[in-house]
Amino acid sequence: MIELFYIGVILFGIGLAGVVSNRNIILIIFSIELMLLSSIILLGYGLSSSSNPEGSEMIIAIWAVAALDAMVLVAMYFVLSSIGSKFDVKFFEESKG
Amino acid sequence: MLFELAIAIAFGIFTLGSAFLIYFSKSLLHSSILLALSFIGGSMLILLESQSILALLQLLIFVGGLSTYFIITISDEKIKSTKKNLLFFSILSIIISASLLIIFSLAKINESGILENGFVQSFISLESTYYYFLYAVAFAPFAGAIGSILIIRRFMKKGL
Repeated sequence: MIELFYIGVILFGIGLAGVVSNRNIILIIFSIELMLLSSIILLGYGLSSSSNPEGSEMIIAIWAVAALDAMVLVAMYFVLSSIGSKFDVKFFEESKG
Repeated sequence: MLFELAIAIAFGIFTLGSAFLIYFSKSLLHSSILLALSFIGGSMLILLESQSILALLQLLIFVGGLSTYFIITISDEKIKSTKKNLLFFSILSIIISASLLIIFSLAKINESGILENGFVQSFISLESTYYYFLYAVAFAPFAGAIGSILIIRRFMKKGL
């Protein structure tokens, strides 16, 4: 089905626009998750459309990156909420090292 | 054929709409719920491509990530545990479980069905080629976990 290809591409665009246009860290990580979802959809499309299954091991890498995202968000949430800071990326201008 | 196409378009609109509304919702909790809905739509789309094992694993793995996001956004919103919220989250969990049940029932989880699946086939045929790549991938979340612990430890000692 060719529609799945277009849906994956549009979803990736929405995620990319979210990363570029937002300043809230949580929303940026949600956008990255959307981009990862779109890449899984595109790899699923590739698996079903061709007889050669090569490249599908990248799905495992995407799942690993998605797990890593959640971990990093927990650490950042812990640090930022205990300071009382808002989840604004401007905060990282002040952090050192 | 036409029925399948209509279902695919409906799930596509559902996925894209919920992904688009993430940025327009008032609270972060609503954003995380919309993200969950877009994940469900995405895995249903993969299921429609007859990659049932991939859809199943994708939904199971991302539910784990989403539970973390729910905890974070709920603690950020400081929502009280009212009956209304309880009802809302019960409905959401019923939707997630129903989609899991649909995928489980449609997935061919017998020996020949699994072997026919493209996602499983790739790991049977390419096991030796990408052995070290998969090892390297396994170290990525490990390094991320250690990094997160180090950030928190450093903050507890000195502050940023």
